[in-house]
Amino acid sequence: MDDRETEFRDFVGAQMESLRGLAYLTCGDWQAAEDATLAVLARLYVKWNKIESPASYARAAVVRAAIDETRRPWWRREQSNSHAMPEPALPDHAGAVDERLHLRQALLHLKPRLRAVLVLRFLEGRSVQQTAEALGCPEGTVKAYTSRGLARLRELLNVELSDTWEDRHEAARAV
Amino acid sequence: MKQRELSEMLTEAKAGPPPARFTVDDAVAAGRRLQTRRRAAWSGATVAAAVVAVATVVSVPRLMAGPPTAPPAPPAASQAAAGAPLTYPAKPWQYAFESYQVGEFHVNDPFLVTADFQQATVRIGNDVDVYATDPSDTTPRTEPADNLLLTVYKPGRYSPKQFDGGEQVSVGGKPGLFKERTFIDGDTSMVDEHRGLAWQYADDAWAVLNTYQSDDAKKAGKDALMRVAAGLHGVPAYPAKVAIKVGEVPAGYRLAQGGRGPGYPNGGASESYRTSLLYVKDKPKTTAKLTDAVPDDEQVGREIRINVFPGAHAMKADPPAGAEQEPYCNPGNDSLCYRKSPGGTFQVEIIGSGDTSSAALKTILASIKFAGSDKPATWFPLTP
Repeated sequence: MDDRETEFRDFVGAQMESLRGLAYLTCGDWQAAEDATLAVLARLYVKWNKIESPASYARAAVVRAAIDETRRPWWRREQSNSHAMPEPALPDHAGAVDERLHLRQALLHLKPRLRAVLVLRFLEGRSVQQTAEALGCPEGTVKAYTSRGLARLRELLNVELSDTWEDRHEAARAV
Repeated sequence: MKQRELSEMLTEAKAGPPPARFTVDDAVAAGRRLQTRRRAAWSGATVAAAVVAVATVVSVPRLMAGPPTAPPAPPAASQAAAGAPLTYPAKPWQYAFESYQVGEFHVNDPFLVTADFQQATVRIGNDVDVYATDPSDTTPRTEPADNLLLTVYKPGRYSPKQFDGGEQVSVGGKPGLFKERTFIDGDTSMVDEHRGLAWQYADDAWAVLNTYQSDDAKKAGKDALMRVAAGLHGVPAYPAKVAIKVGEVPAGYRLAQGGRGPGYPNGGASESYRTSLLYVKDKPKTTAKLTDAVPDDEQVGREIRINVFPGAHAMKADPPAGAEQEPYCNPGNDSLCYRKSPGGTFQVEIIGSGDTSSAALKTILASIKFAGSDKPATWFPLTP
């Protein structure tokens, strides 16, 4: 095993779960999330040592791949909730599972592109510009989707995601 | 109202994943195969072969029961001929056209009706969609392709805004607009190519024909779309039929769409579905003209989706032993519940959007009456 492959293995071992979760939040289906993640890792293997920031590349690529998964022919057919992996039944600690399921349910009611923008901005902490670059869309679209996505989540979850949160986030990034 | 940080909530939402089905070794193996095939492609193999190879490398088996692998013959349909002009039904939940054939294009019977439009899919020749591949099985699972999507809007309910700047055309003497790049779901930021044709089948009454995917756009050029459009004609209005009758719906909910399958992008006229119903509440029906056939997020408040599948469909969770005919819920998601029909012809799932308790979902399931057979002729007319 050469150094290149060792590095790649270490990277996959360290990042796989996180990438899978990122894809899941974007497409809402664990199977599709795995398809997207494996596809991106295969491409990353080929490009290894040619990419300046593999982690950044992989995370943006996984989100895009997860959106693409929702556009594949089978998705149109199999996106019934029945054909996804079983939802794991987890022990509930002080209602955490209940809250988690409600957020998952709420995310499923956002279109994939809205989910992708929220995930990249608020889970990955990317700026509007970085999110626009990752998704290949105008910055104005990212801003509009951020606003619409937050408004929809507020409504679905009855949770206050304050308007100042974004400002604080941007300010913290600028420091 | 609680105040939460979204980053924290998103982190929680992806917690508790099921065990991964691939390992580090699988990722390395997939990368190696992709690299090998790319080198082979560059050294003389065709680009198409490389694309197939990539698709194979990254495929992960999907655990599902499915329709037969062989595409069935399309149902009988008359070759399009000059027929009666299409008149949109005055009564709700009725269809206005039937399947027809134009050359190799088969327009299927409509599968979905809403208050504002009805839709049918179009298959080109014997095209199939591969919806699952399994490395241990060299035969991919397929079903007839949905290459195009035909949407017929109720008079006065559609504005061809996204066709602005398109080429002006005439379909059967009626004005229309053709555009190389349109957006089925109004998402103008993505790079999908959905070639589209919008035309007036009657005064202030529009129909739209879109390709579904980039590959389909290569097979259906402007002339083909115009031929299919010109073949659309009306039949006497007839009711949409569904495999279930829902006896009880929570107060405030109204039927928003129903038919053989769910609307784009959540389903289609798949053989996997028998019926799909969408109930919504909280948001009034929009009076503005629609610019696409996908309900905008902001126009949908709370919702309840009901999907009916054939009896052999693999559900996400099995019923409790000894209570196979009773409604039951997914052990990890109390907003997702199921019921099997007596005799096992159908399985139904119900999905709430959060504010409907599992007890209420079970009550809805218990109120459902199933059609006596899998033959659509025996099904129920769709009613609110």
